[in-house]
Amino acid sequence: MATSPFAEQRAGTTRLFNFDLPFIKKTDQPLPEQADISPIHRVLDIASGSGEWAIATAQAYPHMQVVGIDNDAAMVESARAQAKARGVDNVHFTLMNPFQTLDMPDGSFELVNARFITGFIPAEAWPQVLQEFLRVTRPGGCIRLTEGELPISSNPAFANIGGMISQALFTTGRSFSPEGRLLSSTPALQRLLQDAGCQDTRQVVSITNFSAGMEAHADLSQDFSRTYRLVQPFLLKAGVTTQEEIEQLYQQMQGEIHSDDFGAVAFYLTVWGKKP
Amino acid sequence: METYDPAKTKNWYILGDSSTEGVHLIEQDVNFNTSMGGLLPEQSQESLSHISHVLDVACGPGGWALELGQADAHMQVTGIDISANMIEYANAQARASGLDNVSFKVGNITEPLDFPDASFDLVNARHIEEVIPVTAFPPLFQELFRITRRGGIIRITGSEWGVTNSFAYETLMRQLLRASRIAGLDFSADGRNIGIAPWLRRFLRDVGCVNIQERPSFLDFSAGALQQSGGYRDLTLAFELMQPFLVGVGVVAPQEFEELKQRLSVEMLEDSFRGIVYTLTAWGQKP
Repeated sequence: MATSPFAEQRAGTTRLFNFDLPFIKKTDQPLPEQADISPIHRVLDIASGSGEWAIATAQAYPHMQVVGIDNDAAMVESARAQAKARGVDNVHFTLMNPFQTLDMPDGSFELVNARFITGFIPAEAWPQVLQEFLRVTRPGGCIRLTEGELPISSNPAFANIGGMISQALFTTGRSFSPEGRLLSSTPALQRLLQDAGCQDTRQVVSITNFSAGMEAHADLSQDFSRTYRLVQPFLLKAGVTTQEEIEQLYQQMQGEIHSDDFGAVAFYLTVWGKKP
Repeated sequence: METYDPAKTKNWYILGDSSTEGVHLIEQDVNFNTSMGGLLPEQSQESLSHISHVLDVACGPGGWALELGQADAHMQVTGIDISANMIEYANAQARASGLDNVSFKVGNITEPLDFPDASFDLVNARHIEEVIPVTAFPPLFQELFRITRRGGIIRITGSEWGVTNSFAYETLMRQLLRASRIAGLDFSADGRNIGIAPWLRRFLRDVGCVNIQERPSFLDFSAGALQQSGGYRDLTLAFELMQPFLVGVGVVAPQEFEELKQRLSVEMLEDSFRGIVYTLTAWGQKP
């Protein structure tokens, strides 16, 4: 079943990380690693959430038709409104559970994109989910996965909440770590694609530095203020913290991310492979 | 058994500076040079054409400096390291390869550096988070800035080591991070990462560098990946050499360490093993 760590707040598919968005905003390049985008016409965005990636992609590449699917009706509505407000008409959002059987014919897309979905599904569900992504991909088309590890920060409260998330995702079987230090999602991706039957798999690493004074700081610190608030019931339920402790840490984190000495860098990995 | 005692030796080599560590560092140089895509892969041709005098600090057995001198005969490359063993080895390698544009000398980078102002076009520091305490970084960067010419480049590379699906690896990493904290080598705010990555840009900025840029790289040592065997040799050797440090500062008992080490070599050879090392290089110009 697909319930996110945020399910209880009815925050839908709020993803833990959006490390790629500042780069996309700055460069207008949602698919920077793809050498040739001309054969890509139909794109599926998995767990499209607020729609940022799908809208940016439709906007950057007018020849594409982008479909975003999400199982949260309010998110789908808000993504549609956002697309309309920005005058983007080659993107569509559909209410659908992205991690179960997809109500779509075989071979519907040249590109299926899933970014930062660690946490939404149990680690053991990935092979089955990827099979379904592959089914709706056209032969010669591509599955593209982007995942990150915890942001690396010089500030203890921000880093420690990340650590709690890592621990809770491990406890609930949602990370690839054998003991919860980090998520271990990024090294898992290439083999998952290969086992699903993808060929010519490739990997590329990126970083986002969202320390104080960096361009990415404003957007990502706002994003983390939101997600690290919404994730708290999940952390409590997983038993990795107490109400008192997490409230105190969150307060401290708010001070850290707005201070001049806030330091944070996130590594993330994009892995893609072709359907034969 | 060897012990870890930087107060006595003034040497923060957590792996010691034996010839085995020399072998390990040579392996590590090769692995990182490959995964990063070259020796100075981020520098443009234009930038490289202005670089002839290069210093590599904490050069270990000299792998990076030797390769650079070999690749480009017009480069004058100097390496310094605190370990006389490493420097002796590096100089022997330079002689054996007939490289008269590469030289090495003993030098302690936690003290003022024995070079005049503005001596170098590029000053390079790789993986020094493993060899000097956190408190030694700001004064070192002041020194690097001083010995770089105006318009020259200061370049630093730091690694976050591996993230894997091996229980033994992850457990040993936690022990390494705990021991690093005790030894004052720790950048981590939470004991889960080495924690150097957010600091690189800041060190350059704080001494006055401009045009600061960053470039990530990764080394995939998963089963079946290109760098599996290199990563296996490098990391099993690193953890082997780490025993005196980890046991010495008291984060693990010898027996438990032995078991984890054996489990590590089994797990890293399993077909399901997955592991990636993330590395960040930052560089900036002296205005």
